[in-house]
Amino acid sequence: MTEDERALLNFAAQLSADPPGLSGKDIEELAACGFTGQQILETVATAAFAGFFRVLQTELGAVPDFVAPRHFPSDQMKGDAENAHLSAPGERHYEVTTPVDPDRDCVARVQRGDLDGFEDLMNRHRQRIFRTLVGILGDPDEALDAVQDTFLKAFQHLSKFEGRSKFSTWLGSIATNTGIERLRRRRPLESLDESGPDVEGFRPREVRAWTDDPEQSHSRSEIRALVENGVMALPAKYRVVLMLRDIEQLTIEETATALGLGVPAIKSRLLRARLMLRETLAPHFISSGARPRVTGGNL
Amino acid sequence: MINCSDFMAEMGNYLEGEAADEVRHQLEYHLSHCQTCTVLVDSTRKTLKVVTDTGSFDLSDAAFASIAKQVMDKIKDKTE
Repeated sequence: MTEDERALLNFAAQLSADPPGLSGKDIEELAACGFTGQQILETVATAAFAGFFRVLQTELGAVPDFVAPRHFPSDQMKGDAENAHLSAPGERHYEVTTPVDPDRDCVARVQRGDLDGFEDLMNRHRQRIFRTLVGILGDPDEALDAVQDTFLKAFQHLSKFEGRSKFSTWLGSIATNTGIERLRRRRPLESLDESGPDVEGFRPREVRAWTDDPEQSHSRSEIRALVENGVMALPAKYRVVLMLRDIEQLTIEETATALGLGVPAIKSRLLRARLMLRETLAPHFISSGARPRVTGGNL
Repeated sequence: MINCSDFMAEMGNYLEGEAADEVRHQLEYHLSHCQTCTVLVDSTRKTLKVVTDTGSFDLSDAAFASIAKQVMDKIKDKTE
């Protein structure tokens, strides 16, 4: 890949990850590399279509049933993958390479016919897949069925998995799509993609100070029940984000990838989810010395 | 000077430790004068601690063993 091609690829990667972070200066830099306005426009349109199809795939719950064509020779891809930083040193950049997948060897074993390897893969990812599905469905019993569906679909398609993404990402997308399919069948009005104000429309009602250490005021099992009930009461689009970020402890970016959503949407929903859960837990953890208060400040 | 609504708009980045230095200073100045937002930040942090410490929604070994057995049985049926 030439330096110019790398600059164009960086531009497209950033356009996908953080569109507001781009400015006219980025376009001027591409023009300085020799790209015409039409070529830059085509890059923007391609990135936009990729984003559109990602949203469409999430909403339709589609799982690929084909092998994507390979456009670059594998030796060329390998050479580029070794360039961890595509931009010049010190420049803002987005990595478009895939890090080494810790599941690679195990996946290869299963692809060679070693079925026990698949049990290892299920064991490694069981917690994340279960939490993803509880987060989407809000029903642990149904989530257990959906975990089974997810693993069966994964096995069914594993022969076509080529390692272009990490196995955990691929498996997570199957789980998300499985959960969305079930959610749509059960509750047609509930959607993970519903847009609208998250934090802007939310006003906290309970603003009395909490006790210093809430975990000392109740038993662990009581707190666990309070948290689980509070999380289950959240709308699906908030519940699943909180489940992946705060309970499964994925990063914001990993959560965005797992759900096929943008980072800004994840951040906005996460704060709203945390504030809603805080509101639910507050009556149990308010300091006994706190004065009764329902609203305060100019919130 | 920022108000409580401005604070709410930036609170997510503040909790994640991602607010830029200048913004963080403004948020902390607001916190030093606003009891309501101070309580909000404190109780939200405690909410996060409670959520992460309790290990909620664990898939038990027994539940996983049952799922794994059913999956492996179906896979073996299909591959035989």
